Amino acid sequence: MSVRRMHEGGRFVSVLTTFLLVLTLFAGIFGIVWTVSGITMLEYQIGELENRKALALKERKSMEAELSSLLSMQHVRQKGLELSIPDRQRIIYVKRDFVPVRRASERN
Amino acid sequence: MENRRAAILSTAVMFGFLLVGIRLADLMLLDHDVLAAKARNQQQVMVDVAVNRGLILDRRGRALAMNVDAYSVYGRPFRVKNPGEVSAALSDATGRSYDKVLASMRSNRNFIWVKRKMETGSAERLKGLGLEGVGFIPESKRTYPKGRLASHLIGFVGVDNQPLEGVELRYNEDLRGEIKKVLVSKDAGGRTLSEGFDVQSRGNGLVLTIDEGLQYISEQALDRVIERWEAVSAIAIMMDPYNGEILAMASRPTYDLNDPGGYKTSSRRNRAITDPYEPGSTFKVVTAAAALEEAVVTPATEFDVSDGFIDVGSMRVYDSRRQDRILFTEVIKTSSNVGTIQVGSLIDNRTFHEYISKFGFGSRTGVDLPGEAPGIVRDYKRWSKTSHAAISIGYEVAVTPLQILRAYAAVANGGWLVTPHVVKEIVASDGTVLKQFNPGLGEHIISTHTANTLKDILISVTQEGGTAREAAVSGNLVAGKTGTTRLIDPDTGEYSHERYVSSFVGFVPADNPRFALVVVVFEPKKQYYGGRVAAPVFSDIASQALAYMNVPRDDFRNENVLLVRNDEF
Repeated sequence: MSVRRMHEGGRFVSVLTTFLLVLTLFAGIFGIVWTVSGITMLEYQIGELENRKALALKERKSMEAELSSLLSMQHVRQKGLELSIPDRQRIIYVKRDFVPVRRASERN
Repeated sequence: MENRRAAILSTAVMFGFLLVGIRLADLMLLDHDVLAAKARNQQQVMVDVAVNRGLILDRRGRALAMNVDAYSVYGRPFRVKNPGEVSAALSDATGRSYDKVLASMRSNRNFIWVKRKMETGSAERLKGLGLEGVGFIPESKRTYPKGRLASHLIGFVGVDNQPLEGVELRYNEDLRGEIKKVLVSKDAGGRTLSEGFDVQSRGNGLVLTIDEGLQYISEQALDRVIERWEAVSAIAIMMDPYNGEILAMASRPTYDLNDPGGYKTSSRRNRAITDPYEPGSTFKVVTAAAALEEAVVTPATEFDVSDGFIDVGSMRVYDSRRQDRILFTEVIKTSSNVGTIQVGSLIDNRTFHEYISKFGFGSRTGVDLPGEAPGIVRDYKRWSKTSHAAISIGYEVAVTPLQILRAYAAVANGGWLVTPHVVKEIVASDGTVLKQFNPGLGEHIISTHTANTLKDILISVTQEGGTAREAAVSGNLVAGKTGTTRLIDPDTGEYSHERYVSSFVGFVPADNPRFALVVVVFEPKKQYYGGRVAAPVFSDIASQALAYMNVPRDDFRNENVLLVRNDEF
């Protein structure tokens, strides 16, 4: 009885071991395929994002060129946006010093 | 029986697996290299990397030349089944005439350009139509956001981004970017797999010495003088006299950098460095400097100009106004031709020629722009009997506006001949400064004492009794000199009585110059004296430029200073 049980127990371990080995093998293969496919998917996603980034950069370049053109002095003056050079007689220079601030009334 | 069947089946299955295994081994091990290469050929394609030329910025970092993305549209006529329909769509989208596009599409050529560097939005819309036999190539297009501003200095590129003028041409090696290709993986659907790195090539950028504001001020002033005096052309150059940095270089007529083909070639010429002219009285400073350096005159030396003319060989030279005995300083102040010829006669030909060469006339200034002319200064051994006298008053020599400006900058800075330049820095695309240009002071050509004496005389020119009172600037002393010369009439070969060159060159504030400025106006109508035509332009530009540069007035008083305590600032 005990010999038969032992024989059955050994067979069970053998089947289990075989099953686990096959399972591990398939799991390994599946894992590799999964990883490779995941990397490929990521590459696609990154490629897609890079395309979007390239489009955004294209747009940014156009916008920068337009901004630069709009900010040109020629444009500002043409649009009558009051571009004027300051009158030097009316310029007050602000300097740092260790003296108290002079009030406008005192200066007059 | 069943056991036998099972054995046969299992043997067949095992044999099948064995065959598959052998084939796999064959494919994966024995033929690996050949097959891997085939796979690479199918999955990977070599693509051109987008090349962007470097940016061109002014000295304050404002963009003067940039890049935008564009598409070039091409056609493969042999693939077009319905040329009429395709041509109509292309004509609508590109603005080209339908007949021309149709003729191209019906030709037996393999490849035609339909439109180069088309704006992205329009190209995308055209792409959406899915026209047969029509393709699109993404390209980088050079754009100049300031249009006409500093066009002669910046220059432009052709349709293939090949440099054609200005700093675009001179610094092309730095600007153009490296042309390279990369391998990109694509799937059967043509979708790109990421390579994990940025596949763009960018050229190095240039930081120019010019300032957009000063350039604009100069160009506006030239537009006004051209309009007022109906002049043919005009030039203004502003330079830092201490280091040779060109702050503004304007020339009229001009052109739009975004459409250079729409203008005459003559409008695209940078006259500031390519067109020599006889400088006239502005050249008298060279005669005066030589005489002072050789100690043949002092400011108090007297000259008799009472005749109002002087005979030199067969030539009779007149003064514009009669005077009696005048001091050396007054010779220059009143721009007396008779007096200047007398001053010049105190120096021998060889010495005089040496000073002309010392001031840089007859050779290129070395400015970093293409097409600079050296001017014309003949060897003294080939001078005629009248040459010495003529050269003393600025005839028989030809100089560019930049050369004459450099000579005055030497007077302004105490006697040093600077090298003019338009590029301040070369910077990498990540902002790292790769190279800085700072030639500094060059050769010491005249003593500081002589320079200061000349400076005092040149200040008097813009004051009461001088020839250029209209060059004066409110609040600051101006030092400078007028010039009025006749142009040669090409029909007669003689000096014209109708075609003149009016000029003024000087620096301000005279005691501590922030810039030297030359204004040259070619062929003004109604009025031609440098003091009336060019000097007011100098004053106009200088007044605005000093305010723009925040230069205080000489009469600046403490009332204009608001002092604040350090901890309150």
